[in-house]
Amino acid sequence: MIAILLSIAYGLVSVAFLFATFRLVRGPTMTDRVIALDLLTTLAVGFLAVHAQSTGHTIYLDVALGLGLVAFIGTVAFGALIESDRGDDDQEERT
Amino acid sequence: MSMLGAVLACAGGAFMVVAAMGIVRMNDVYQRLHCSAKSASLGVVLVLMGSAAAASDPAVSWRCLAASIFFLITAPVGCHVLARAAYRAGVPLAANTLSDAWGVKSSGTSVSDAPQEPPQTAAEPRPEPDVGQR
Repeated sequence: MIAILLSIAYGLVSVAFLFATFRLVRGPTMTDRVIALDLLTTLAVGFLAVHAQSTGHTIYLDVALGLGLVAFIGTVAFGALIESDRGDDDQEERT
Repeated sequence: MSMLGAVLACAGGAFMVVAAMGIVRMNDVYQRLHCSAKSASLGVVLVLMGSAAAASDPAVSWRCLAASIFFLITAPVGCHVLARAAYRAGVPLAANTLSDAWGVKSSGTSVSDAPQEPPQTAAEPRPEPDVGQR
């Protein structure tokens, strides 16, 4: 029963990976792609947690924590990049 | 306890699927951010709680709790950073947006240089912010 439930969890997270990848490929703006990338890393953290629970290798939880940290820093960096792009365009329009 | 962990993992997976479907189906960058930040972080916190319930070692459970608290702190911050960057970069709002507290309801290009002040009235749009001063 537990194995069946964990298999269902694997399947659900995999379907979510597919949807997020669709938005990553299809996104009209760069912000959409950044959102999809952020969601993908969040889903990867969830997948690692399910894997750690399923196999008993609790070292994957440390991997999940590190991945979440890197994802947060990457999201903040992408946000700064989007804002700085806009600033450059604005200065070009002004001059 | 291991059964509870499996049930929590399934619930978290369901929330993640809902988040991903919202990413695909929503109209707007901001609506996508809404479901990405809230539903996906709730899903990952549920899955981590399931791992914490299923673990036999208390140290592992505490580690899962720390990771979920970390996600509950950083997910709204990342969402806010992305939303503000998108708004200031002029990403257009969806057509069915009801109120825009930061300025005129359009592509948002005229408010990219507006000072960061809290919105006074959410209903009525502000006039053009100090265009003639530069």
